[in-house]
Amino acid sequence: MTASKAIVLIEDDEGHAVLFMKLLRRRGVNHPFQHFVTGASAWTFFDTQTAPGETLQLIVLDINLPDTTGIEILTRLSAHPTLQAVPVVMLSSSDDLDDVRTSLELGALHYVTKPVLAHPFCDICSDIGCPLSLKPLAGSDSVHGQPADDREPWA
Amino acid sequence: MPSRASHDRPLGRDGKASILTASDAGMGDRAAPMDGRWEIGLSALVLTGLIVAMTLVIVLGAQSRRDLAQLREAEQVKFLATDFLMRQRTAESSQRGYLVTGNPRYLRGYNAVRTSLPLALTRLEAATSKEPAQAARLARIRSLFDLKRHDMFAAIEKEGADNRPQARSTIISESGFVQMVRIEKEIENVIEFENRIVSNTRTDYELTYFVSISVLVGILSLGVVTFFRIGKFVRSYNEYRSALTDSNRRLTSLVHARTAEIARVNEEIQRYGYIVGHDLRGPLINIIGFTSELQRAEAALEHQLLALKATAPASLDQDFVLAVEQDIPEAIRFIEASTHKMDRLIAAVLKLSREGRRSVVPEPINISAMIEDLVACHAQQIAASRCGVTIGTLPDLISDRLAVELVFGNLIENAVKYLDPHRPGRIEIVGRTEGDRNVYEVIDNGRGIAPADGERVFELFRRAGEPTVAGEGVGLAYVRNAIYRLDGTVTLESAQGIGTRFIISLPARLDAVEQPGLIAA
Repeated sequence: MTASKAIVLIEDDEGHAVLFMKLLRRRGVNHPFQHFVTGASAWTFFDTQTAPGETLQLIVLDINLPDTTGIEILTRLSAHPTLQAVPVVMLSSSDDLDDVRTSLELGALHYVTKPVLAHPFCDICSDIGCPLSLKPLAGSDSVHGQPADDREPWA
Repeated sequence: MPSRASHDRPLGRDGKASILTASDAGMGDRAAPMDGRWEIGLSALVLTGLIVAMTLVIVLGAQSRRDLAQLREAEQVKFLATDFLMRQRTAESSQRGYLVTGNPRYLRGYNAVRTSLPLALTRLEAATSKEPAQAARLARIRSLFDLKRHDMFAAIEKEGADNRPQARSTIISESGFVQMVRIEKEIENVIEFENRIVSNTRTDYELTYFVSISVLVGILSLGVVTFFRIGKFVRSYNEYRSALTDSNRRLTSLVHARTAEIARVNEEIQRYGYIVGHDLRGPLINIIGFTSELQRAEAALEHQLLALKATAPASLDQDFVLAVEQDIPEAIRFIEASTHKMDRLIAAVLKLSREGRRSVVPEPINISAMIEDLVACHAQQIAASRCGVTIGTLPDLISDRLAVELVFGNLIENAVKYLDPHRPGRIEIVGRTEGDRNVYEVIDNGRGIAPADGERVFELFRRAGEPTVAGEGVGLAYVRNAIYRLDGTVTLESAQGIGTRFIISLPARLDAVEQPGLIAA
């Protein structure tokens, strides 16, 4: 069951993390989230993963982190014997071309500039061969007759 | 990062001015100008001395030639005079012997010189004709000679005719003797005169010789002086050259150091702009995101309010209704407008910073083609504003294509954007070459810029006049930034209600090496 696989989010800005998770949840994404504020804490978690291919659905990396950069984590991930199989999407508040190029060269599947919209993010994940399992759109989202759509930015 | 930037000031960290002075280069303490004047004076002196010496040598040479000729002439005259006298004596004694003895054998001498004697006199006359005093003497000698010859001849004739007593009377009368003495006296005078000439000429010649030797010694000493001066000159030239090499090396390293420093500071400023833009955006994204959350919550509230209005309108507090229906949506609207504007401004700063970090790559650019493309990009607005665009003959350029495109793109966009809606627009792009620079002008008949706004339009986020046209106030800041990076200048002339003229001056051939900011970019 894919829904049991976790989405790892490494993002130092709490607000961005909250918005990201909130909007994906609202969109119907039902994967559990693993949120880390630093690269070090993320690696502590990664090191416990014996079979990440079975436990991790997606890794989302912010470029600017307090102790490291998303690029550095990506470099380590792409060299890791098992973690390199997990799809990675980069997040950044800037669309710096050098960062985009480096990320894609290092094997990131996509580079998303904040604020991005929930709907396209899910589409992107499908496109890159990492479809997120969605709950049927219901509940709070449809209460106001205003389903989560791509007008909504998230962090 | 900012604290580091303010700590390491780009130039003059050592407290010195950034201008390179002569003492920086180690050339300061040589009294070169004074030396130079001396050198020139001395060289002029040596040259004058040489010219004088040469003239003297020529004059003295001519003088000694003249002296030699004179000496030879004098000796010739003396020889001729002596020769004449000897012959005369031979004739005289031969004639006297004959007259005394009557023996014709004695006439042999007389006969021997009879024809050569007048010739000898003629030769002497010719040799002395130039000297009036000698010529006068010769005239006297000639008359004495004529007389003497006549007497001698007459006496010999008489002796030959056996008129001995009469012939002897000639000898006895002593007139022949007196004539002979007088001739001898005159000849002595002639020789004496020539001796005086010889003696004078000798003195002259010795003087000439002495002067010649002096001149030679002079030339030699000038040569020695010049030799030492050349030696000294070569030494000081070598010293100057090594000093120059040293100072060049120092200058080069100074330039390298400062270029590196400028590059570092430049990079820091660009990085600073990048970080500011980047880090400002983090909080902004939260505000945008959570405002959107608030909007969603507000929608829920409004939904609830509608339901309550339908079911229990009496229970509703008026303030609650006002807050949900007006205050909250208004606040959210303003927050949204502001955050979106801020996002655009930050994006502009980022773009500017990114443009500054980009390497400048000079390449040949067909400006006319580029302008035509850019005008085509704005064809729709141009048509909408009934605007005529004229493109003059534009000189081609070797520069950074993207930067030049950004410059002209923004200027043309500006011209189109700020046309006066009340009259037909006219935009003109002209160009010309000025030395090694190309000058382009983008001229419009738009609303113009107030004199007070002048240069401020080039500042980031500054906009002139009434903000009736959408924009962030970044276009001209991009233009100026790009122009500076291309080693160019941009100025504007404008009159409100008449139009604006942007004047761009760019190097016709941009040299990539001259861009210090690029080393780290």
